[in-house]
Amino acid sequence: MNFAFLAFSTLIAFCSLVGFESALAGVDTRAMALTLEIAAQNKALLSGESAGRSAISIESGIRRLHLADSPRQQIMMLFADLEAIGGRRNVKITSFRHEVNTRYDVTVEGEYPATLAALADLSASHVAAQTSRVLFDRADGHVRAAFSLDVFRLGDASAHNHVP
Amino acid sequence: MIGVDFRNRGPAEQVQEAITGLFVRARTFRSGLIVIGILFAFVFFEAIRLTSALSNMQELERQRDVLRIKVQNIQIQVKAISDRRAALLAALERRRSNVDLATTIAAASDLVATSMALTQLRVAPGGFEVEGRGTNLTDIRASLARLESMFDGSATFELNRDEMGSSAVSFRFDIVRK
Repeated sequence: MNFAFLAFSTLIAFCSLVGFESALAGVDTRAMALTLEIAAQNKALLSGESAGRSAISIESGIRRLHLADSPRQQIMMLFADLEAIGGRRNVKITSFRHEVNTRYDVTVEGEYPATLAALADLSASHVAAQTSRVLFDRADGHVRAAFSLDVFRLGDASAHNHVP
Repeated sequence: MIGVDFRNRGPAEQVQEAITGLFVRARTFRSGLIVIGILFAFVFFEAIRLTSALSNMQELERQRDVLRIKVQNIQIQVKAISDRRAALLAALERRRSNVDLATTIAAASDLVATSMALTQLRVAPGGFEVEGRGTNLTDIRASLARLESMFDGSATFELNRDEMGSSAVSFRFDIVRK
């Protein structure tokens, strides 16, 4: 056995060992980083799944408020609500006019407290409508209230965006 | 380097020396082989470990890629859910504001009506305008002061007295919501 050969082989073997060890260290570090990344992604998946479960109640709320309905369906629903409120509070709806986009001008007449109660009742309407620009004429307990109703509706893009 | 000097030796001695030398060479060769064998066994073992670690890393990368795609899809869905939740909450808030409006009208008109005959009340986002007629200026001013304290806002008003002594009051009241 030649000493030079022995020394050379040993050197080669040591170099290979060092090379493999450093490569292993690099691979282990990368594997650790991957494991952490996978854990973070699993966590994100879990939170996404819980968000998906809450989507059911959100969709139910959207259907309940007719937010994704067509404007025509919303008008019908809104007018039905107004008639129901008017009948319940003994308030007369004297005009119902469609203005621009989702805005409707409504005029109601009735007793002062009943008219106020009718306005408040809109907060329980089947359609999410916000009263604004109220003109309130009050004389001898009789009131004529003219107000604008802005009906809230999801945009076309979001209304048809199906969520699991 | 192991060598045998055959000079000045007998044949038997030379043979013995030669055999001994061979044995020595064989032992050295075997020892060298063993050392190199052990070293290369380590190298082989390390190579197996590295191969296994690389394979493991590739599997992890594959899992990571699959999860990344799933997470991206989930994030898109979560964004859509979040947008729809925000829209639903905004709709509920707008619907609820009708009660606030009715309460505001009731409070303002009741307060003003104690000192003047209220003829008109316009409510718009951020405040309201009231028109009315009254005779007692002190009461009217007291009403406006109470309005200011109730709604935490400020009133700007005009007052015109007619021949009959009645005061026509119109004012703008800007609410600062508490």
